[in-house]
Amino acid sequence: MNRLLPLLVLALSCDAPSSGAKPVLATTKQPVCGTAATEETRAVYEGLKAECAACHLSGTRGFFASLGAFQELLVADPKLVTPGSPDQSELVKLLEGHGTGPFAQMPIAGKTYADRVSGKAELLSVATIRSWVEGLTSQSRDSRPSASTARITRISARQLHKMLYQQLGLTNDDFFVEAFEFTLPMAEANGDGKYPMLPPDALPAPRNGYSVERFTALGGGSPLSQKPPERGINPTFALTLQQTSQAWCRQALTKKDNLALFPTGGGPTDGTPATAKATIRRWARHFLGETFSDAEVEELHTTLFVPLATETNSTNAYSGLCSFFIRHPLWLFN
Amino acid sequence: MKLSRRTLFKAAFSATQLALLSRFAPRSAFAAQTPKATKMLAIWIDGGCHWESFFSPFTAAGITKYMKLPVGGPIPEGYLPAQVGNFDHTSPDLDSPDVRRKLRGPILWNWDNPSDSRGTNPLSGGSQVYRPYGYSWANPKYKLYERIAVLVGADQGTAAHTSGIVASMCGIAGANFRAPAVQAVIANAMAERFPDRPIPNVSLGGLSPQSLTLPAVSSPVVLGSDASVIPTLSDRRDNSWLGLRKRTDLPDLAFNGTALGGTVPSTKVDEALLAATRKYRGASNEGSDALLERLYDTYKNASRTVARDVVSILGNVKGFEHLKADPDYPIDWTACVGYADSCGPGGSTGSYEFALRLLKSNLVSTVTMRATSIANFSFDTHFTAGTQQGANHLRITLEQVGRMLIEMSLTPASSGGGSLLDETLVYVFSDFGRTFPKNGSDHHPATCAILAGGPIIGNQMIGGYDERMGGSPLGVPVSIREEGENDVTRIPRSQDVAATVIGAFGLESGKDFFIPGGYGMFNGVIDRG
Repeated sequence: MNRLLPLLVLALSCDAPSSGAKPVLATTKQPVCGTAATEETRAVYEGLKAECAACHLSGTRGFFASLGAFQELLVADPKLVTPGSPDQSELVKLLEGHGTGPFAQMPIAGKTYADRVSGKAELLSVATIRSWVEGLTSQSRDSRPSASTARITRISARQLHKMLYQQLGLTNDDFFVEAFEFTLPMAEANGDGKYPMLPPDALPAPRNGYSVERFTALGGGSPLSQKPPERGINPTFALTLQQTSQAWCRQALTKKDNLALFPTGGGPTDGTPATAKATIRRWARHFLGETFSDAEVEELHTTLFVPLATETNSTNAYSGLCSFFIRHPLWLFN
Repeated sequence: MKLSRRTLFKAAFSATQLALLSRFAPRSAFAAQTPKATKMLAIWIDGGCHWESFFSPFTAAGITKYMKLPVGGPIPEGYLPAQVGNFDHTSPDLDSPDVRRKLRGPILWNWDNPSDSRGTNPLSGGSQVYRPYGYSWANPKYKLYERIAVLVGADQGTAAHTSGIVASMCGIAGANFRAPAVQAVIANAMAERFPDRPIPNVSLGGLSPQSLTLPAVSSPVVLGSDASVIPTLSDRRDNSWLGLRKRTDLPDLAFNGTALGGTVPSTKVDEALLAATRKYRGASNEGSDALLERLYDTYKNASRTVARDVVSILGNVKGFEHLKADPDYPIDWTACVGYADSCGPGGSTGSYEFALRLLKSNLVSTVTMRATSIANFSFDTHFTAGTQQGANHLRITLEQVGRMLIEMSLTPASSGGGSLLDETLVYVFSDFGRTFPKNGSDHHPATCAILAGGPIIGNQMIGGYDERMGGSPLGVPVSIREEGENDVTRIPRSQDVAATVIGAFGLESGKDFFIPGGYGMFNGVIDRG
C-alpha cells in the first residue's frame, strides 16, 4: 500500500484550471490541466478516426487512442494545428496532400484524405475540418501524465529470474550442470522436475528447450530469437509462475546451508507460531519491502500458514508462504 | 463478474470509441444467426507463401504471364494452363473473368494413381514427374474441397514478417497488435456460451494471439509442446505441489468484492493471494486498478484451469484415430522433396496431433499453431531456387493440412451433431504472399487466406490478381459487405479477412468486435442458412 500512495498523490496534484473549478481525477472526466476537448473537437476526432486510427492508435503518434490523446497530442500541438488558421495547420495540409514535413499527405499513399471523402456526405469533409480549426482558440497541453494511465508495470522475466535467484539464494548450479556442444559450454538441466529457466541468450547457453520455454512463458524475450519481451498478465505467466515459485521456494528451503530465507539459522522444520510469525514479518520486508502490521502478520499466519502446516508439515507451509509473496502484486509490479 | 458482450466491449474500448461505433448500429445481418462454428483452429504457415504455386486464380493468359514454364522433373516448378484443373476433377473455365471460381490449381498428381511419384506428367510436356502431395484436397472419397474457400489477393498492408502475421491475426498490420487477435475475440465470445472450456485461447507456437484489453479469460495460454502441459496446467509434480494441492470451493468474488455467484476452486495460497490483491483496489488510479484486476481475474482462471485436471482429460483423448483406417493415409507417412532429396515425417510439419487432441477434448475454443514443412522448412524462400523449393514444400504442408481436415471431418462433434470440422472454423494464413516466380521470391503484400469447415461455403476461390499489372500484381475487387451493411466492390484487405473469420461465429460487427480503420466481410463465404 505504501508504495502506491505517492502515485495517488501525484494523480491528485493536477493544478486547477483557470476557471477556478476544482480539479478532478481523470476517472470521472477528461484531464483538466490542459485545454479540454470541445464537442466540436470530439466530432472531428470521431470523424477522422475511421480513416486514421489503423495507423495512429498507439506509439508516439497514437492520436486516436482516445479523445484525450487526440486533444493532447494533436490539437494542442502547434506543429500540427494552428488555432484559427487552417492554411497554417500541417494537419490540414496533410489531409489536402501538400504537407511540408516528411510526408506530403495522410494517408501516406493512394488518394489524399480530401479526395477520399469528396462527394461522400457521410464522411467528415475537409471543409468541416477547416471550419473547426478556424474556430479553435489558443490551446495548451498538460505536461503531466494522464491520471488514468497505469502507474505500475509488471517486472520483466529477466528481473524476475534475477530476483528469484537473489532472494531465494539459488544459482545456476542448483539447476544445471556443465556440458559442451562442439566445445562450446552449455547449461544442461538436471531434468525439468526442478523447473529450470534461462534466457536463450544466456551464457553458458541453455541446452534444453524447456529451460527457454519457461523463460518465454514468463514473458521473456530475446534478440536472438527476435522475440520482444512481454510484460502483460496472461494465463501462461500466471500458471508458470505458480508452479515455478512453489518449486523454487521448496528448493530454496531445503537447500543445504542456504541462509537466504532463514538468515539466522533455524529452518523450515520449525513451525512454531513465534518462528512462523517472525518469518512472515521478515519475508514481507525481504520480498515486498513492506512492514506488515501485527494484524497483517496474524491474518496471514491464521489463514495461510496454519492450515497448510496442519494439513501436512511446516516445510510445505513455508513453501506456500514463500510462493504467496512471489505471486503477490507488490512483488510483481513496480 | 458476469459480463455481457456489451460490457466486455466497453472493457475493450473506450467510451469514445463506443460513441464512434454507435454510428454503425444496429447490425442485423449477423446478429440473428446461429453460428455453426464454436471452435477455431488457426494454422500459421511460417514465412510467407507462394500461394499461386498451389492455387491458380488466373486466366490462361495470366498463367502464361506470371508463371514459369513447367520444369524441375521430380521437383516440379511452374505450370501451363493445360495443367490447371478444378479440385473436384472438372475442367476449369480459364477464360472467365469471374472472381469467384471453383477451387483449382496445377494438378501435379496422377488422377489415375494418386500415390504415383515416379511417372512423368504428360501435361507438363514431359518435364515434370507426378507428385502425390495435395491430393488429399481433391480425393473424391472425402471431397474436402467442398469444405474449403480461399480468399485471394487480400492486401496485408505490409511486407514485413511480424507485421504481416499481426495483420493476419487481427486485421491491422503493425509491429504490435492494435486490435485483439481474432482468436481472442472468438475465445472471449465463446467463453460466455462455453464457460466449461478452461483454456479458451491456446497457442502452440508462433506469435501469441493477443487479447489486449479483452477480459483475462481470452488471453492466450502458450503451450510450447505436449510436454509443457504438466508443468503449466496441472498439479501433478510433487516438487511444486506437495502439501499445496488441496482446493476449496470459495464464493466467486469480483475484484471489487461483489459476489458473482458460482465458486472458484482455490488452494490456500490462491485464497490468500486473491484477498491480498483485492486490498489494493483503489490504492492508486484507474489504470493501475485495471492491471490489478487483470491479475486477479487471471489468478482465478488459473485456479479453475488447474482444478480441471486437464492432463487426465487430454490423456483420454486420441489425436489421429479415424483417418488411419484408410490405408492410403497412415499416420506415420513420409514426404519427400524430389525422389529423396529431402525427406521427413509428415507429422513433423506442425503440432497437428496435439492441436487435434485439444480440439477434441473440448477444453478450448481456439487453437493456434505454427506449420512448416519437413525438416522445419519455413517458407521465407529468398534463396536461389526458393520458388521451386517453396512450391514443393508448400504442397507437403498443405497435404498435412488436408489430412488434418479429413480427420476432423471423420470425428464426431463435441456438440453431438455433425463432425468436429462442422463445429470448427479452420483458418490457414501466412505472413504474406510472395512475389510471383518470374520475379524471384520476395515478400509480397497480396496474400491468400484459407477458410475451411464450420459454415464456410466451399469449393470456391474468391478474388484474384489484377492481370493488367506486370511483375507481381495486387488483388482485384470483390464483393464485400461493409460495416454499415452496404455492399461494395473493392480490393480486399487484411481487415476484411479478419472480419470474415469472426463473422463465421455469428458475431455482430460493431457490437461484438471492431477493427479500426474500416472493414467488411467477404460476401458469399459464410453460409447463414
